[in-house]
Amino acid sequence: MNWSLNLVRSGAVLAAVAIGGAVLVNAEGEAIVSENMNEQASAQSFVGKAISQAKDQLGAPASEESFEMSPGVSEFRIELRNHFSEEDLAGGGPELREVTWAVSGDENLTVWFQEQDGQWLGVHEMRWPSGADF
Amino acid sequence: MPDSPKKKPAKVNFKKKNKRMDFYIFGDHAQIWVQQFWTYQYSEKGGASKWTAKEKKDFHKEIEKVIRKAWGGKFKLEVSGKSEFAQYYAGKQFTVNFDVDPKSAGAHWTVKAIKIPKGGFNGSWVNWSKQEMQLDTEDAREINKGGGKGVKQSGAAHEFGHAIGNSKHADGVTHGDEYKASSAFKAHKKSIMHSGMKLKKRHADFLVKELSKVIPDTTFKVKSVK
Repeated sequence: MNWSLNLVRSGAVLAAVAIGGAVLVNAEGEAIVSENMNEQASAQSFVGKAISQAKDQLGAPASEESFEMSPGVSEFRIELRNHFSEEDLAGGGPELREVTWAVSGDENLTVWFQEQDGQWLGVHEMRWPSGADF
Repeated sequence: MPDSPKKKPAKVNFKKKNKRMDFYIFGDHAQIWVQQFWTYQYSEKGGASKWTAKEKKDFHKEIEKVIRKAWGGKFKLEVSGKSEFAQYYAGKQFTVNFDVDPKSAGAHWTVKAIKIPKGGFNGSWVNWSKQEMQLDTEDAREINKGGGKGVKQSGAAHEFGHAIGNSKHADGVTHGDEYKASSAFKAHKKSIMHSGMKLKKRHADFLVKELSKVIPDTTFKVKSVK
């Protein structure tokens, strides 16, 4: 797992779970597990959701870049072709934001966002093993 | 004084089993075979129907055909070194061929084969450290990957390139996907590790490094590539 998992005290009773920062604490308020994201957030889908929501829930991304979608894309972005046909892209494709998070030590999540009515919303996402060559 | 005739080595054929592929060197035929065994795990996506037994067989045949066409017979290697083998075969050109066979267990690679709707797209990848790859039923098709006018690539040919060592995770190799902004070969758009199907000498870096470990004092080097 990429996020740090620090077990401070075992066998403690969980009293609270702070979702934003994902810090687990026991009855005395001591941290039991600290991590920069929570598992629930990392497992959910961000398609149709705002980029701000994804960042709030998943924390700081490992990488982020913008590009103009075109008919010829690399294997890493190939699944976007399921959403944009050659005809859609003939006159120049939309700008997309590609944001990747390391959701665990062996899995990454990439979400592509497109601007719609002033909001960047997820159009597609892909989970992939860290260390993979596309 | 004319050179004395070279002494033929007692052993001219060699085999070396590796974690991700096996190597066979046939001196007299000037042939090198690189063999991989793949264990398939089948699944469906995007509403595709279940795999049939025939589709599974045909999938392997089609992928291997693409691999052989893209990579087979293209690299010509030469040998040098102090060994009898290197001395005897100096000046010979060894042709590199590839063989991929399904195997139910104990294979070099686990291949997640995904059946997707015709004309659909799914990301394919190779995980060098885990000896896993993901391919789909559209990977034999040559498509536009952004390499420019008329330049196309099949996913299977590109991914196989990773599986024979074109990965930054492979020991001693410094190049993988060449379409990345960080790649030193970003301008080589027609390259098979970029967006096209063209092989470059560097694409055999891992192979020659491993082949040079098979016979003591014998170093293989790429002489040319088609």
